[in-house]
Order: sequence, then structure tokens, then C-alpha cells
Amino acid sequence: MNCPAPEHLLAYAEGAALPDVATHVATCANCRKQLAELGAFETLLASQAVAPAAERERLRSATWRLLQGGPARSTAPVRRFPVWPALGVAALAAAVLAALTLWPAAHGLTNLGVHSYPVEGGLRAEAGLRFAMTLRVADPRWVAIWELGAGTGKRLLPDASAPLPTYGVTFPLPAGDHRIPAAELLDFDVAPNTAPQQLLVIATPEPLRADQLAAIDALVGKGDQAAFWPQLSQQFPEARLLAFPSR
Amino acid sequence: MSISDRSNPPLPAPGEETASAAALQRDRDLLARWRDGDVEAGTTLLDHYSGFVRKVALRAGVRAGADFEEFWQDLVLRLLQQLPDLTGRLRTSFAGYLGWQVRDQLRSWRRRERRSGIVTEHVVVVHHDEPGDRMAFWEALRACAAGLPPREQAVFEHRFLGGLDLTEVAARVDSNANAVAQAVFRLVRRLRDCLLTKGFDGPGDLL
Ligand SMILES: [Zn+2]
Repeated sequence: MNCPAPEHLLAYAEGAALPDVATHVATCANCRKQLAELGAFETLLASQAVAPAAERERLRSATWRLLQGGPARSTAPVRRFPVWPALGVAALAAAVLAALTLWPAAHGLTNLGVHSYPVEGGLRAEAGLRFAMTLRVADPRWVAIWELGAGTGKRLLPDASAPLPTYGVTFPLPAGDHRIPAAELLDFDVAPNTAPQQLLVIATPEPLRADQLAAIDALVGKGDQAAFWPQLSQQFPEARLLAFPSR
Repeated sequence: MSISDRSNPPLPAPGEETASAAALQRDRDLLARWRDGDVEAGTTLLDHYSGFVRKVALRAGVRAGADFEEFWQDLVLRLLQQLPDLTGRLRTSFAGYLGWQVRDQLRSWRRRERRSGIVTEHVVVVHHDEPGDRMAFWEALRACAAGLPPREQAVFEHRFLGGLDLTEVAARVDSNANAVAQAVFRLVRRLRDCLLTKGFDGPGDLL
């Protein structure tokens, strides 16, 4: 076969499905050289742009954490830290901060987000926070949530002592995107200066029994992640830790 | 393509021993290690190109800072999903592939913005003077590009800095795809030769 027209070779380079071109390229040194020259130029160009140092470092940390959750062979417990830096004064007005989901979509529980905002009408220095979570489940799931601070851990949901123990959410959640609590009116409250550092979310195909919930309460009660995470993550494959957005 | 394709890497071209070819091979090696579970290799590879992705995204109107960081995380997740057969998808280079992924993601990003009612001003700014950029290189590239015929200059701008594909570039420069493709291969050779005379070949070591 003759070498393909330049437009077909370039379309192939740009990802077009062109089996004839692919077959030809595999055996033609000339075409391979042209593609290699293009590739070398792309590589050169792309290597010369550098993000500002601080931002690059944040991107690198975020990348590291995301890849840890990927199809890596590592079985070590994953260390996690808040991803977002304080967003400064913009947070005052916007009041919605999204926390990052630490796991890729290959898992059944994904797209975790935390949206926090100050309680309206309060002065900033003493205002409490409210927050809600968003998440996506691939299959019907029950979900339980704990807030973790320095040396503390407390279950938020289900909460038998709350007026609505599941905050208006009907379990199991069907596959798809969800908000917890079900409505803004029911959002979780955080007292002034006691924002959690992390949230622990556990999704299960069957509801957790009261004794299981109590056991997890006891395990996370001291907030010592290094102590509880290896056990929890092994027992519940859809357990996730996520950073509470810093303000 | 599948994981078993690793025995048949289409690149680099035989006999090409430049630093650029070494960089291509380095990216392929990092990619293969990442696919086999080496998170550090994946992080190193993506870190190397974070500045490039940022440049393209900002140029397309993504705001610097938190917006771009969110964009970056979405991109990393997208690559993770493609990881099992990503090596087989490379046609020219990982950098080139990354460029097309950024472009695709920009499209869904804009759709999302439209849905959520967020209005972003898509101001095209040529970010050749970002604080960390290798200024000498961009200056040299600017000088070399200025030496191209006007049509090739336009093709270069649209395709390599604007992220447009063959068809889109052809429409922009009011030409046909074959002429644009010829111009692309030709200008790549010219720019590489010109950059070589100014001391720029391959990216060599990871930044
Ligand atoms: Zn050929």
C-alpha cells in the first residue's frame, strides 16, 4: 500500500479510527518517522510550559492521591490530606467549597463532594457551618457517614437521636447522583470552630446492623485514622475518607 | 488494543536518536510502569505535563486557581479510566494524546458550565509568560514561528497552541484538510530545525 495522504496520516495521529492507516504505519518506516517527528515536537512543546511552583505542587499532590485510588497494586493504607488550600475571601461570598473525591470512577461509590457554607446571618468569626454531601453510586446502596476531627469521631448518619435519622434520605439510594441530606433545610450543622477535618463515608449493599454501626463508632471514636483505616478499608471496600474543605 | 500490545511499540522511529526521541521513550516507559501499578511513575509523568495542560486550559478560558485545579483532577480521573489501554492509544506521543484529552474535557467542561449557568469569559490570552515557563524556549519558538510563511504560522497557532484538530484548522485558515496536513508536517520539521539552531532539541530530563 502506498503511504496515506497527509490528511489521513494526520487524522490518524489525532486519534481517528483508520484501520488501513494503522496497518500501513505499523510497517512503514517513512510514516513512522513522520509521526515520530510530530510526537517529538509535541513532547518538546508540552515540556516547556511550567505551572507556578506552588500551584504545581498542589497539582502534584492531588495527582498522587488520585492515582493512589486507582488500579494500583499498592495495598498500603492511603494517607490523605486536605486537597484544597484555603480559598481566601472568595469563600465569604461564594460559600460553597467542593472537596475532592479521592477515588476514580472505577469504584462503586464515586464523585464524593462536600459543600459547606456559613450559616446565614451569623458573624463570620462566630458563625457555624452547614454542609451537605454529594455522591454517586453505581448500584443501590445504604450509606453511613462519620465526621472525624483531631482525636474525635462521631456518626452523623444514620442518627437515631435526630428528628430525621436519615436526614430525609430514603435508602437504598438507587444508582446515580445523590445529595445527603435530602434538602438544604436538613443540612448537617457544625458548631463554630469545630469543623471536622475529614468525613468517613461507608456505602454498603445491605444496611449496616446496629452492632456494626456501634463497632465502627467505637473504632473511629478516637479519630486515629492510622489505627482504624486499615481495618475499615479492608472490611468495607466502599469506605472513603475525604477531606473537609478548609476555609 | 490491550495490555498485551506492549511488545509492539510503534514509536519512536527507527534510527532516531535525538533527545526528543529519548523523551518519547521515557514517557512510554513511565506510562507502562504506571499501568503496571507504579503510582510514582504516573505522578511523575503527569506532573511533567501539568504546566502544559494548564497553559492549554487557561488559553481556552478555564480560570487559574481553584477552577483549573478542579479541571486537572477531572483530567487525571479521565486518564485513570483510560489507563488499561492507554499505551495502545498513543499515535504520536503522550503529550499529543494529552492535548486531545484536554480538548475533549474542555468541551464537557463548557457544557457543564452552561448547564449550571456559570458564565466564563473565554478570553484568549497567550500565556507565554507564566512565571515558571521556560522563557528562552518560548522566545525562540516565537522567533522561529515568525519565520514561517503566513499560512503555516496560522496553522501552527491554531493546531499547536489553540488545540484545534485538522478539520477545524482547515476551516479557520480557509483551506482543505490535505493542504493543512502537509503544512503541519512541514512546519514541524521547519520549527524543529530552527529550534535546533537555537540550541533547543528534546526536553531531555524531566523538569
Ligand atoms: Zn508510509
